[in-house]
Amino acid sequence: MPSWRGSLDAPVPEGGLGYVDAPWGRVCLAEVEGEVHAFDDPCPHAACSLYEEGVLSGRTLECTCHGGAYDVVTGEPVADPAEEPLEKHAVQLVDGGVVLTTDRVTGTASGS
Amino acid sequence: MDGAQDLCPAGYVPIDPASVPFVANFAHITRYDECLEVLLADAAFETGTFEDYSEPLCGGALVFANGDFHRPRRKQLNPLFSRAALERYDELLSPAIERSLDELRALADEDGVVHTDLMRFVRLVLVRVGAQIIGLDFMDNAERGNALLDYVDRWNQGVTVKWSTRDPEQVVAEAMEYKTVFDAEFFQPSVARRRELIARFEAGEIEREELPNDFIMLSLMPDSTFEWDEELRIRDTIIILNGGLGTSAAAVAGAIEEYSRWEGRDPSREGDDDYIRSIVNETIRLHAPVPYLPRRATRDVTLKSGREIKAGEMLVVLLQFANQDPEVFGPTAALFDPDRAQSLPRGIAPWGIAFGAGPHQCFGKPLVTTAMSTTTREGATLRAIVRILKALLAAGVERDLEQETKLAASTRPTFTLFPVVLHLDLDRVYA
Repeated sequence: MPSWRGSLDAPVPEGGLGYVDAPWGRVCLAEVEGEVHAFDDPCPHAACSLYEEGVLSGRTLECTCHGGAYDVVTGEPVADPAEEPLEKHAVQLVDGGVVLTTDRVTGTASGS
Repeated sequence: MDGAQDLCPAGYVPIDPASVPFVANFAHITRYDECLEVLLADAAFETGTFEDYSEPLCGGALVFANGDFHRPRRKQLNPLFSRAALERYDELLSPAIERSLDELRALADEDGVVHTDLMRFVRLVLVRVGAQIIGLDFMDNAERGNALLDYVDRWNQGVTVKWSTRDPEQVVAEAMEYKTVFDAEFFQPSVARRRELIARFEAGEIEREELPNDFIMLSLMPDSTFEWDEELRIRDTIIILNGGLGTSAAAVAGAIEEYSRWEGRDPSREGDDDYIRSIVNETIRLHAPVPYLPRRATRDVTLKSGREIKAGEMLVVLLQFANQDPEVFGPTAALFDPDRAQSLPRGIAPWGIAFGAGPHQCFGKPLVTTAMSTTTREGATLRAIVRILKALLAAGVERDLEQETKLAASTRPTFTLFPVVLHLDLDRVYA
């Protein structure tokens, strides 16, 4: 699977959210118990920004736009009106940046 | 009205906003990315009725509210479209379709042929589901369904008065009369019954699970995170009922129109749920039933494209243009192609942004679109429009070419009459 490397646009605090702008759009990053999880930023329900609208409590991310919630570890929706899962990507933190391994990557393998 | 047949020419051409008086002088947002950006930034671009006529009918209602007057209210109503609630509505649909077809069978000739108005047929099916969502009781006879539909039709003209070509004061006055009658005949009896149920719940006589899951009940619950007053409760009711019926009927009419002309039409697949779903999705992309979404900028904004919007500037998000943006939907974006969804960029819905996006995304979208099971990606249910279209195709629906369609007295073209012919077998179950 191809990978893409980029600098963090907003760092990921412990138990919080950060993001990186990837070529296919913003990717939200969530830290849960020492592990970072990456997923496309638009909420699958109504496209609101999960970085801007999301509230992370443990592994549950609530999108305050409509109150839908997701388990960021599995990506599955856990509260209505969310129905579709998060679009997750494998992620590694490296020197102030991230490497995303995902089939969203097309063309060049290295980002900003 | 002549010209209605041109509403859906092959290669759909959206109405030029410069010819629509209400928005002619607004900034026209037509690019997909700009439309999406504006809809998502609800703090920078507020919604509203933006005219005074309809205020007593629907001012402050959910779709016209902003910020703290909107979000807690909408969240409070999430249970209306929970998975369990959607399953309940699904269960209501087939009997509602069959019941409406039964009423038509009584009018059919000896060969089972019946002429009817598609717009009224679809709205009549859905008004029964709408009544359930609101929590209107005593809907068990045809007269009540017909009466409620008449009210909704009249409200529709009032709610959309900014697009009307009639005298706006007259339009809203008529709608207000129906609001008063509805309040006495339908609304207050249902509110009173729910107040009694809440009193019994608070007295420990019944469990919370025994309370109905409907709008009136949710809006009355003492632990609600948003406080409705009596007036706002009925205005939201008007908006919720109004929002679903006309737009759904328009989508079914558009689907029949587009499908009948589509060269790829394959009648042998009309029993295939995915096939019908793709027809509905592509129709909604092309014919976004609510094509114009007006907004007012609350501050200076520079969109990611570099376009500048000044504080106080009025703009209109043009969904039909966005949904034909060749940057997203390719060079054939204006053409009806149900197979298009297979080649769309990831993250782009088959219906584009026909339901809007962000905080004000269409409240009833889950009744139309279908979510797969998140774990198996299977088990999709047939939601309202797909189910209705499938039943109609099974009944051999076709445009009644002996009668003309009619359009609403509006600068936002919608059918008010869409004559069709059905071929009904006496013993067949269609839905």
